[in-house]
Amino acid sequence: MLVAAGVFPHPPVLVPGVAGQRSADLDGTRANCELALNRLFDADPELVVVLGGDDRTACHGSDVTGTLAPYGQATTFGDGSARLPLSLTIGRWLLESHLDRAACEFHSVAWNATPAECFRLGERIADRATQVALLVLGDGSACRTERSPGFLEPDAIAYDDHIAEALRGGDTTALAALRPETAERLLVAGRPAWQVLAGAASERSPVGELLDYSAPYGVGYFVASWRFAGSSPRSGRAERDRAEALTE
Amino acid sequence: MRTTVRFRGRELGTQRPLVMAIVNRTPDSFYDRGRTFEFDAALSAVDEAVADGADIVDVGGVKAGPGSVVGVDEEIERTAPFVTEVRRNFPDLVISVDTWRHEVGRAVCVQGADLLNDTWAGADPKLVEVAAEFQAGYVCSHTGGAAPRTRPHRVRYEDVVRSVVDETTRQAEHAAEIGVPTDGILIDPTHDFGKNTRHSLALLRHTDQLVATGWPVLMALSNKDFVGETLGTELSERVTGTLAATALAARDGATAFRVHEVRQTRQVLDMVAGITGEREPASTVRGLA
Repeated sequence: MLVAAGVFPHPPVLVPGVAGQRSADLDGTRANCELALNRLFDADPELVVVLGGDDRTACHGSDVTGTLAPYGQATTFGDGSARLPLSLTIGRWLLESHLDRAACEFHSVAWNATPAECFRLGERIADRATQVALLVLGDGSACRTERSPGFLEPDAIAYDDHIAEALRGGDTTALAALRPETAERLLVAGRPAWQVLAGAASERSPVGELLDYSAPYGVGYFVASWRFAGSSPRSGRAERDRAEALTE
Repeated sequence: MRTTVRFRGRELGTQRPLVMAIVNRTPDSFYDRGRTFEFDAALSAVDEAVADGADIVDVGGVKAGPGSVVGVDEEIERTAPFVTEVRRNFPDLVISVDTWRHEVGRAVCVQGADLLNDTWAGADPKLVEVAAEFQAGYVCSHTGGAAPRTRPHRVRYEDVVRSVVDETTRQAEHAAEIGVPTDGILIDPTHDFGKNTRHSLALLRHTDQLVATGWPVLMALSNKDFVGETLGTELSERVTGTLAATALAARDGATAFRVHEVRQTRQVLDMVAGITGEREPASTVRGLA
């Protein structure tokens, strides 16, 4: 059962030093990440599942290494045998000073996974232990302005605003309803990971808090913390039906 | 060792590296911001570039970055009549055109262009066929598969130098195979295109590996973002960094440099060639009178 979740950005520049003298640009976001991490562990999870997008869906286990070498920066985190994609590398970096607080597993979800596949993966992840916390890596649109990496799409900021509201409100229905084709067009990296979160949290009643929503380099970054009121599970049928319908 | 290059019969010696002057017939290119968009302004820029020592002029009709759409017809209208006029004014000048579209390549070759600078790495596979048909030169680029006019976003390489060597030599061999004259084929690591600043710096650090392929290397470094990010400077303060990169790449054997500042680049290249011994000093009276 899911006991807590945190949502985090995953650009390489989140790691201090990668951006050189401009590293301080993200100091505020890093501080909010730390806040969200502490809230996640305050829920006393027995297992933390780190979840982010990649070319394929896979469980990488806990014996992992994350590296920024493909991005030109010879920095690694961990020394395990499985090599992590970027999203989970940033997750591994975020956990660097929290590794003794709970067992951790790293899972990737394919960029092109359907909403229904994401939802079911979330349900399975929530069942992996009695007390599971989900550390979700996902970014908003890279098409917010003419200076964005993906240039300007007029609806990009409204899309990110919608995500911010969903994360703020713990709105699993809104996340489950995101359309893959829109996310792809707007260069939104977070869509599959957020939909896994929707599946994992579907039988709970999330109380969301948005700790950070910014775009200093033209890409939407979110930091959010979800906790769950009460202990009685509710049915996640509505969200599941919506995700299934989107996939058909 | 630099070898002689030849584009539609126009031979360029390589006692020192060659200078390719950028002349953009665009209203929005990142550095000149439309300064040579007008026909006559662009012609004057060619005059100036030649007077300053350019070996090649590279005419562009579409800015590299994202922006307003320029269709095939408009790109041809911006480039082909201009090539005609430059050819009339400078019968022996090597004229290059920066395009990824085969329709444009054909139109400018008909008007006398000698070299097709395919900056988007064969995004239109028919462009190299046009080079073969007209026996023109061809630049083989590396973008990591990026679509034309897109910016890099979290691009990654296991080994960026290996990726560039593999991709550009594969294209060069293909170009030669389909009939592009081998002494008119250049390879360009294409700094900033599909690369972050650390990738671009690695490619300069390992220029020797690009040169070791045996294909002449074109370096397009001029005032690019990787220079600005390395120095922490804005667009107007990138010339010094560009020239430093130019000097090192020249020392390591690059054959040609695509530049905005022709006169300064020529001086840097002449000086480097003087240091390496490839070029005799212009005058040596000091202490010898």
